[in-house]
Amino acid sequence: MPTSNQNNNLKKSFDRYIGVEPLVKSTDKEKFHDWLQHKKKKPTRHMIPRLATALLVVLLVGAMYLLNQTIEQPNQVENPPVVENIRVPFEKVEEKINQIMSTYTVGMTKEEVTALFGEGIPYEGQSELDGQPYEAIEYQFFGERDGDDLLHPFMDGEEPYINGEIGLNFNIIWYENDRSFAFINYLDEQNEYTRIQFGSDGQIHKDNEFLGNALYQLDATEYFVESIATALGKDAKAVTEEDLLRIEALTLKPSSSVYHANYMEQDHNYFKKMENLTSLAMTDMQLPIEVVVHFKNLTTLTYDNSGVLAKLEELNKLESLEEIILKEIYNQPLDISVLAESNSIRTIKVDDLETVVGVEKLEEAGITVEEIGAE
Amino acid sequence: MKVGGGMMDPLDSLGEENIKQWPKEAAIEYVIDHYGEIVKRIIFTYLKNHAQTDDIFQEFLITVYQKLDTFKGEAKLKSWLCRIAINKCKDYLRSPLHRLILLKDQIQVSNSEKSAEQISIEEENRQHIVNAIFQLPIKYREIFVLRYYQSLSIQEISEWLEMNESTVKTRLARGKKKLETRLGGEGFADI
Repeated sequence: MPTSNQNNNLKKSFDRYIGVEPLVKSTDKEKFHDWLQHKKKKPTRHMIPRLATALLVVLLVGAMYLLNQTIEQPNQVENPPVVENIRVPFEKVEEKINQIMSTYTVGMTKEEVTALFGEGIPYEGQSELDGQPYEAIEYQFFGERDGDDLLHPFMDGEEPYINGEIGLNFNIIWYENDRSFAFINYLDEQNEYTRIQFGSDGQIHKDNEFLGNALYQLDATEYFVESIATALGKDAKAVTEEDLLRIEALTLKPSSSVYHANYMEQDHNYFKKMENLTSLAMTDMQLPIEVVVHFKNLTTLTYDNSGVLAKLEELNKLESLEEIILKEIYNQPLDISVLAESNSIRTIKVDDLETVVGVEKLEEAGITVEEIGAE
Repeated sequence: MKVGGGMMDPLDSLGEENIKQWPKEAAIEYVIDHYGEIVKRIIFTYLKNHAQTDDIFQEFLITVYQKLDTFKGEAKLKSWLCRIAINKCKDYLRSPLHRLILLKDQIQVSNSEKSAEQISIEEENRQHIVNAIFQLPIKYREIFVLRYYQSLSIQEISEWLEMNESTVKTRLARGKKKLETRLGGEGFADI
């Protein structure tokens, strides 16, 4: 045990890490009072005030309609409405998007890009995230905008697109570490401001919708493809959908990249195709149980420091599962008695018997629960 | 002592064990003034990000406001508040959202390490230990923070985290082993 003096010094080191200035600021109180005021202003659920409000709205709308009928509207509209003949026609924009998507691939050099799209407007900056310097080129297509006036990063927003100043804005950014990404901004067919993003990991997204991965044969995340490539001892770019059927044993770990990638929904769909998987080990992460239950031929399943383990009863659906290994359980004590319903599980191994409960019920069901390393 | 911009301290008439009987806004003012700093520091030890700490602190205040009626005077207010804060942090860490900020966390960690260069060797060793503690998985980190930063006993940690004392001891021992591995056994014997 440390002495009191050592403890105080250690506390100081904690405070130095967290920050020596007070963390509580006046804004903490202000934000809370804002929330409280907002809460108090919320309308009640009583019917009478709601009806009165609805009646008032009807009267106001009626009055405005009558005013419109009798008084000529002055030309003082602050936000011009989206008018089809003001914006650059979507057909024209769409054609350019298709051209970019069929010719540009993330990872292209500046020379390759300028050979395809011209000089554009070059600019430089620093990443807000990690301060890393970058060089970039902006291309402005269509509209009546002055071609030397940058839109990104200073004037992001839909207004110039609505006003017809520009039809499509294409930016490519190169960091010093050779990482690059790109994005296209435009108004879609419904005049919604839209962004297509080409991530440095090959993933292409239209707003939040995943469109595909330009770098691999699988339309999955880089993290997924790299995991599979490692399991197969194959180059990631050569991994195909057929390869997924060849995988019998798989060990999954968190992404080692600086981006802490997660498996996404598109990856889950590929996981579900691994029909011949018999052994799955997950270290410091876990797949959703809804995905795991798709591995119909799984015989051994390992969770090692995988965070909160829940819905374990779902594993009873796996009719080939014989052995479960649980290491470094987070939510201790974990009730594993729900696995007694399984018709196939024979053994459950844990690194410490004190971390689980419900062992008796399992043993009554003929399932052995033992500590790892025990005879 | 004045609380909440001129209001009399409710402690004058009702102790903090009766805080649920106070006007709610005064109770929140009291919580911020008396326990805000310790709560925010604990939140930070989970999230390692100041912006997220501010957000979770707001959520904590809202929860306290909403659950004040459920506070039973027999528990200490401080441990009741800290339990709420810890649960908020864990809920947040279980959500996919928190992974988005991990990169930023790393940058802050490296900044902390840089500041250690300016202090004495002895302090630097301690700072390395604390830096290593902040790199431990949450389940070990929280035990070390409560034990060595908040000076709680094993029994108190088990109450705060709602887990067996034996689990606390096991995690403390395993955490130490992990720290020894990270620190190469150097400078850790004192803990």
